Amino acid sequence: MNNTVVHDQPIMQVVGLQKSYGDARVLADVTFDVQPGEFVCVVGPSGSGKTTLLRTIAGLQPSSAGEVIFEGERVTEPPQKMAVVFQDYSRSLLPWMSVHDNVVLPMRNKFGAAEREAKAAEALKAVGLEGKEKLYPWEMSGGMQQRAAIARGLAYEPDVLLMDEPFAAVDAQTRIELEDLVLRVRDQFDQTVLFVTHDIDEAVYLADRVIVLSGAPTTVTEDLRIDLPRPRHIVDTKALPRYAELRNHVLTLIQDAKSHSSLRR
Amino acid sequence: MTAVQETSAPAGQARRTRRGAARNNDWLLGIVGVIAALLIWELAGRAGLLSQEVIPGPLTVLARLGELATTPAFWLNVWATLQSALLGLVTVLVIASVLALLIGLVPAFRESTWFLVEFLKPIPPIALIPLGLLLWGPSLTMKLTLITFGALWPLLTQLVYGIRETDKTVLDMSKSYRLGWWLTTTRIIVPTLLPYALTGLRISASIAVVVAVVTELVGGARGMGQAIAVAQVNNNLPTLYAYVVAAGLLGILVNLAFMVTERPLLFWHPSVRERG
Amino acid sequence: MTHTLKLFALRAWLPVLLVAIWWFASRGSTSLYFPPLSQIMSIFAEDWLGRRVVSDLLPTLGKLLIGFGLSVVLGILLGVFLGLNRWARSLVEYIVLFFRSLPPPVLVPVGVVIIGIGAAMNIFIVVLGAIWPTLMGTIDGVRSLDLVQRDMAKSYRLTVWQRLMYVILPNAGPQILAGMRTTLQLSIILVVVAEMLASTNGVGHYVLASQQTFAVTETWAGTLLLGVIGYLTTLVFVSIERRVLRWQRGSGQE
Repeated sequence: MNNTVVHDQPIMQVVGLQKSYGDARVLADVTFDVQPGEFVCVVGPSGSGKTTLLRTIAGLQPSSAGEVIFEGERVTEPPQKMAVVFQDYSRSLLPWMSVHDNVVLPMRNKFGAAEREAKAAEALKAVGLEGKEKLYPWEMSGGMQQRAAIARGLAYEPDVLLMDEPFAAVDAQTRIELEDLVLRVRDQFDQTVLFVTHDIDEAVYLADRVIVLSGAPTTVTEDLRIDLPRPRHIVDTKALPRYAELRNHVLTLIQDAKSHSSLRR
Repeated sequence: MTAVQETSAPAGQARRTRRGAARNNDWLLGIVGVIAALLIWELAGRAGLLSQEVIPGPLTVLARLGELATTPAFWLNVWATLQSALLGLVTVLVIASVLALLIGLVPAFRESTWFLVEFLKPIPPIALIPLGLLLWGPSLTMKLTLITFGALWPLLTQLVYGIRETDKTVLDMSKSYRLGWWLTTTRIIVPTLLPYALTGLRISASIAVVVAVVTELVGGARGMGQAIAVAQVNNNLPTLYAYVVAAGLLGILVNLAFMVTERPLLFWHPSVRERG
Repeated sequence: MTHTLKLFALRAWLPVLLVAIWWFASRGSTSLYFPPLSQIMSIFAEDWLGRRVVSDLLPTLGKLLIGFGLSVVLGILLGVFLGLNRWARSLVEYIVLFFRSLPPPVLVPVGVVIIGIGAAMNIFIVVLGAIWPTLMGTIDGVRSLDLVQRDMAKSYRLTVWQRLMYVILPNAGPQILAGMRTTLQLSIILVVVAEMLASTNGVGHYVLASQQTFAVTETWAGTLLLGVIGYLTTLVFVSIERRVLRWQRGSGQE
């Protein structure tokens, strides 16, 4: 089951990416690409350098070797057409600003005042925070805060939205809601998404393609097309035999990666 | 999810009103406590438990305070203390900001000055009073030098702490959304540092007042401390206690001034949020 | 190893340079106000490693220790009581507010009037002026007890004593220690001011008396000693604090 996908015009290419901290090699050789409009999930065992990978792609830290090409240009600093939804919503939202101001803030360097308001209103509506604009992050539940962070990312109108384990800190119920929310707004905004997670079910449920990482030092174990029908449905999709098949396949890869890296240690 | 949205606000409100009611009672009780203490003080004096020679009753003291408050000399003394403390604080603000930036952002500077700062910080500022008197006499220069030295450290420590604690996630966010230096400074760095700066400034302010009063008490520089020392030497007890009460009220006012500034500036900060 | 050495060099060069500059710039100084550092050091050794240790240094340290100790014990006891008792806390709230807003040194003349001059008065002043940070820290710490911890203590029917020793005080530890640190700094200030104004011996008395008699070198030496006392006591306190807090973390606080 190795359906490697061939494409013509990727929006983003990660080529031979390596990253070491001193003697510790985190990323050994990571290569994959993302097509326009795709929803790509990167999944790997804990300690596989997922956050390092995402931060490097986002231009927040330099790589040791290899490169990230975004829209034909090498990423050396955070590109204007990329936005990140961070795992830690409680810290990435600014407590001294209302939800509205948090969403508007990044757009100040990009759009005029009227446009900012319109885009903020649209994004907040899309994530179901209409009427909550004046609240402060600390007046809202964790799930609502992460919605606000997603709205901030969407309103910025990035060509690729990066999401770093965005639902790792919310409860299971909220998580299901937010997963469906992400699928919905992704369709609505025709958004290309690169989504990093350690949750195999989440990855298979959301993605068009799943990039499976090995344990550190990290390489790409498999680039797997998820040929499940869309729109996905939380009950129906997960009931499909094909879903179970894909999920078990990824699970096996991850378990192997874990035992390998533990053997190496 | 709708449940969460709808319950969060009213729950907060309910908590606020309940706490508010409790607060009202507490406030009354506090006043009762003050009145009771004054009453006990007065009665103990009348019953002969407290010698009037040593501790005059509260009525005498408060009456004297009222008298003093009508004299310009009293207000000049209050102003002399306050003025030197304020001037000292402004100096501290400038010096501490520059030093904190250097210490927080330049590692070589931080390490080179580490020992010096750690050595100077715990030195009690009043240790320098005799030296200050020797060099400058009981002057404003002497007061300002000692106040600046004593009040520098709390603000400096807090600012350095704030710079170091500036959240990495927030800075990542600002970089990835390309906020630029202006938005990053005004919307992120300044609000982040503000609670630290206000905490430091509040401690520095109370130290500034303490040092100012000591230079007046010991060194004879003009101000409330000097008035207290003179009253003690002349055995003018009502005046002595009246000035002590005035000094306490001044301290309360300084604290109040900080609370009033903090509320609108730090409404989002957990410490202020919890106060309701 | 080389790293530690490098760090040490980086931290040491400036203080060493400053002392060296002071030493050489003041060598042969005839200025009334800036005696040679060598002379200051020899007076320092003569007085503070010799004849004045028993007559002045030990009394000062003794008063400091007793005053600080009493402030801490009383502050914690009162603080626990007020922290657990809302009624009492509200009743004394404004009285406490007044005393902790008072610049503590103004209490020294009051102490002179009430008790007169001497060690007991010095200690009284230290306690009256320095108790407040520990008291406030204890109150805040006691009140900050987590609801779950409080319910746990209740549901397991811990005795009042057990609650105090195993739940309330450990939880309040960091805040109590933070208060104690300020109490220590205030204690030093108050001992010295009290000695300056109302004592016939002690380091504070010595420094001010030397200034008033223009014994400039002695003033410098005494100032240096006060700096050393302030530095060393803080050093001792911080190392104790670190040990206590580590024990607390180890016991599963976090």
